[in-house]
Amino acid sequence: MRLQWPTLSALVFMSESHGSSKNEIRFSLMHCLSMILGQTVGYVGHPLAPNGGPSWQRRCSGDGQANSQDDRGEESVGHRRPRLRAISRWIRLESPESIAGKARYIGSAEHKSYPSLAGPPALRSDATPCDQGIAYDEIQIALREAIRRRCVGAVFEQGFPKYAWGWIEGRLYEARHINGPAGTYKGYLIESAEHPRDPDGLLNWGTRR
Amino acid sequence: MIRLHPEWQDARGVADTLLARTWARLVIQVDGCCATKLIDHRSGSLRDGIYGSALPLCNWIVENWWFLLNEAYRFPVVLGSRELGHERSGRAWVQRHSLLAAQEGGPLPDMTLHRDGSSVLVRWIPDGEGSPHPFIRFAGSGEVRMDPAKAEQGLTEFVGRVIARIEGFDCEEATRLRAEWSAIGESIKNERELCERSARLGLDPYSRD
Repeated sequence: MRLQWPTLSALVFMSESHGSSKNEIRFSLMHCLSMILGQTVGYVGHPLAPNGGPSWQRRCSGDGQANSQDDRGEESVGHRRPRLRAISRWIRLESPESIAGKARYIGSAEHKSYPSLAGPPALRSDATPCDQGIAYDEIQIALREAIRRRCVGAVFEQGFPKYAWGWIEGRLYEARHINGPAGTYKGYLIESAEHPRDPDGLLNWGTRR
Repeated sequence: MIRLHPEWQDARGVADTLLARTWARLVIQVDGCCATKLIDHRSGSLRDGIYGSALPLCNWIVENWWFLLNEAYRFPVVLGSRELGHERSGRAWVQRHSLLAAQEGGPLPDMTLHRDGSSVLVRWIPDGEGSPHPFIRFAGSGEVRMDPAKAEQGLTEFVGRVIARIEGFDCEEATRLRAEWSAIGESIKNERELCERSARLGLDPYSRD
């Protein structure tokens, strides 16, 4: 489906111009817009805008997130970066197995309510405490399996993924690469609202446990 | 006006140097109402501030800058972020608008910021029984409409304070945050309308996917 500028402008205008109390109208319009976005959308720039207007084109998934390459014409937004919490295709030269073998879980005191290898629990912290029933080794195994299975984001630091996601006892944990020694991680349990985008279903392995 | 006020704290034992540097007691106030009022079941006390790093929240605000100020609520009924986040269809929106997506192992209230007509709507609700945190329950609730410029000002002040706090740190995460913030500043000057329109449609203006 291809949207011309007047159509897109009209939709945006309609979604903005209603009163805030007319929720039903708004939701209908937004639902309509979401349905349109669920299809392939091409967008042609405003003919009267400076430089012919924006010329980007996108394909959209049902949740409204762009998921394919857009046209990087000179009128498109200049800055580009990956989102932090999205599992993306592996584009490193080094293999996941190699990086996983070097990754280490060291933990951090803010998640400890008991003396541990991370230090004494002296910190004033509201962070979720680690489950004492889960051993360091078990967490490290889960971390390395997550990287081996490429359940990592696109951002890397010092050659290691900034975030990785893995399962422990059927619950999803996020590992965060620590600003410190290369390859060291801390981890914490995450809620479903924090689950990363996973377009290729790479996280499905943990649910079988 | 939204005000996110970090009081910097000592962070003995925190392994990550940037998280340690930004350790704080964080109080969020919206039009004078405290949105971080919580019950700490360890002490049985009621207090206003959260103890944790301000960095994940800052990273999240910067990543979702255009969405927070421009994208509307898009569901037929008003639900909490935990309910919305259980379904894949709602999760992407929640991750762009709810503070729950910025927790990284620390507690934050179920607070959303989104566009509503000519205003930005900030809504926060108390934790229910389904809250996974073992000892923190957020107790406040509220709904405030504000001028988008005021919302932008409050978020800008918070991001500015965190970035000033990590001045001199040259690790990749600090460098990335500064670059992201700088890119937003450039976009505000040069391509604001395009970024706003993109965000209204649920499309990340900086997406490279």
